[in-house]
Amino acid sequence: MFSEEVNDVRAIVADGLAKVFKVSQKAAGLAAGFRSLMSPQYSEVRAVKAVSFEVEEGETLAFIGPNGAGKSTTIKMLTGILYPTVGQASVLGMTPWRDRQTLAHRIGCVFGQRSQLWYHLPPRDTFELLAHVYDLPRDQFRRRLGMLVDRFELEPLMSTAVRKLSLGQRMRCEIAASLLHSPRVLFLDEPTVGLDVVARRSIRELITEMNREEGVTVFLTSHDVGDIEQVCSRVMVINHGTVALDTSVAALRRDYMKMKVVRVRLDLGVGAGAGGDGGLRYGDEDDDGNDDGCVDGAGLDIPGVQVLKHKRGNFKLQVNTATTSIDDVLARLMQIGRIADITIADPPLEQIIAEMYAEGR
Amino acid sequence: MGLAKYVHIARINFAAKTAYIGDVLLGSAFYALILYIFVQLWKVLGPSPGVLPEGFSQKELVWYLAASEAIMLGKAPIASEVSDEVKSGAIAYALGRPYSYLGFKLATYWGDTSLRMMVNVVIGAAVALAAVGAIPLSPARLLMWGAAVALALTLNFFMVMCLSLSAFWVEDTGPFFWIYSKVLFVLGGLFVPIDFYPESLRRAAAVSPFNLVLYAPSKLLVAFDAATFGQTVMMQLVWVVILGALAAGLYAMGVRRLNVNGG
Repeated sequence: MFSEEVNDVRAIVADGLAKVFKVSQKAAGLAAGFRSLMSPQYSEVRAVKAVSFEVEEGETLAFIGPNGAGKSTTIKMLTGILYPTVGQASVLGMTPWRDRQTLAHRIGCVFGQRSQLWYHLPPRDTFELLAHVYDLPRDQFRRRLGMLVDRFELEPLMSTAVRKLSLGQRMRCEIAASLLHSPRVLFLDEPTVGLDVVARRSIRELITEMNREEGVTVFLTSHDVGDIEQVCSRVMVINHGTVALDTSVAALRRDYMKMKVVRVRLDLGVGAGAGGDGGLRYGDEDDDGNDDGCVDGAGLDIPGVQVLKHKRGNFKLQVNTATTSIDDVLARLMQIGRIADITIADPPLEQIIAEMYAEGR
Repeated sequence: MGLAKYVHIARINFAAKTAYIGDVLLGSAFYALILYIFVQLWKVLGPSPGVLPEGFSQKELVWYLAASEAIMLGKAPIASEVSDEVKSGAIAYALGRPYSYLGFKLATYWGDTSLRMMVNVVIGAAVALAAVGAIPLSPARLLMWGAAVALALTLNFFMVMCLSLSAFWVEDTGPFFWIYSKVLFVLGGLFVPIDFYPESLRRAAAVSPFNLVLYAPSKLLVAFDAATFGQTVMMQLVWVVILGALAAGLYAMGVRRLNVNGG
């Protein structure tokens, strides 16, 4: 698995990569404080337990898992930030923690919670600085910057201090900055965290474009199912420091992401009851006679639709899209009343992972 | 090419710090106030026999103080920044960049320090001129004094860096910096030249690197001679190399035991 020949065609290879952190332990109280000074006690936290995988050049991989699963630790080992406790890794044929400086010229990193932009200066200054940091020839820098500014629509932002940009604008600048030196692998650690819907979509489209047009390998961690579905072709689930699932996004969508949560507010005054209730009886009361939003008395008759909450015209439904399409559900809801407001969301990633485990994966 | 990136880092931090020009000016106002108080003090004490050390006039003493305070208040405060980066693990993110962390920090330190020093030199000179008048200075002497000050500030950087990097092993580095600043006050000769000290303390100060940060360059401003300049610069270079190597060693050891939050 770890031969030079393999390294030549794989963007990333991890072989038995593990990281154990030593954490100091201190009991409460002054005496315990003195004791720990004389004989410090440590406990070991196994953040990553021997993960092995390969990523092809040009592949888009979502590396997902709940908080504390070992995602960021793995990404930090692959980018040379952390030394592993045991195991081997190769990124573009280099050992990240040994060839860190050389590798830095060939990979790009975006850490959602860690900005590389200079806060009080316009993005243009950071781009200039990065051109020096990455030793880019002036012509190449100008061409590349021009392309990124066009593609990421940065021109109106280039002369505004970063502190005055919105989170979404900043993230567009962050990603452009990480692509300035034309990296072959792009590591993105929660790039859409905290962004609104429009900004998230824009970031996803830009990452996808760069992958499609430049063949950049994308290694992405996220808690947002949308990032995974719209950017990646492959997904790897990590939990408790081990790889729990490695599959295509299509398979994940088919097997685990079929559930959607629909929140809808109906205006019951218009068209209420027209054409019958379509199998969904609204405004039902619970067994205790209270219309308090409990599920039990909803009396759901649409196959694959479960009413999670309901109160007068407000419904929270879980729809199994493998059984009933969202279109069908909406069509029936419109028979009940005019749709005043609606949101359709994926269930949280944690729920999907919990479902995988419940099914014995 | 290699040095150019650090020059650019210094330049961009200089530009970034201009966003805090109000803070810099406030610090300099404090500097002007201290200088004014000491000028008044020496005006009272100066004429008394036996107060001033041999070789120092009242005028020279004021200019000495202007220089030592300019350096003391002109050095960028990087201590807590670096310690926090080590403790939070944020230092790790610098590892993924094609530059040396120490080089990056030195460049950002100089970006900030050069702005502070520019303001301090102007204010210090204005206060000293107004209080006691000019001292004889030639452009060549000023240039050499500038070189000694640059090395002094670089030496300070590496001392602070060594203390900051101890955060890899020590939970709270705050006391180290408190002690360092007090030692710099005394052995560095901040308020009075070490020539004033009792012989044993003067000797201790003379062999320590602290006097090379404040006393030696400040004395060069008021009592310049080529031999002292050569000796000062030589000793400053020796200590920069020693402490630079120590900081690089601490950094290399620390990075290997780096513990980054998250995962």
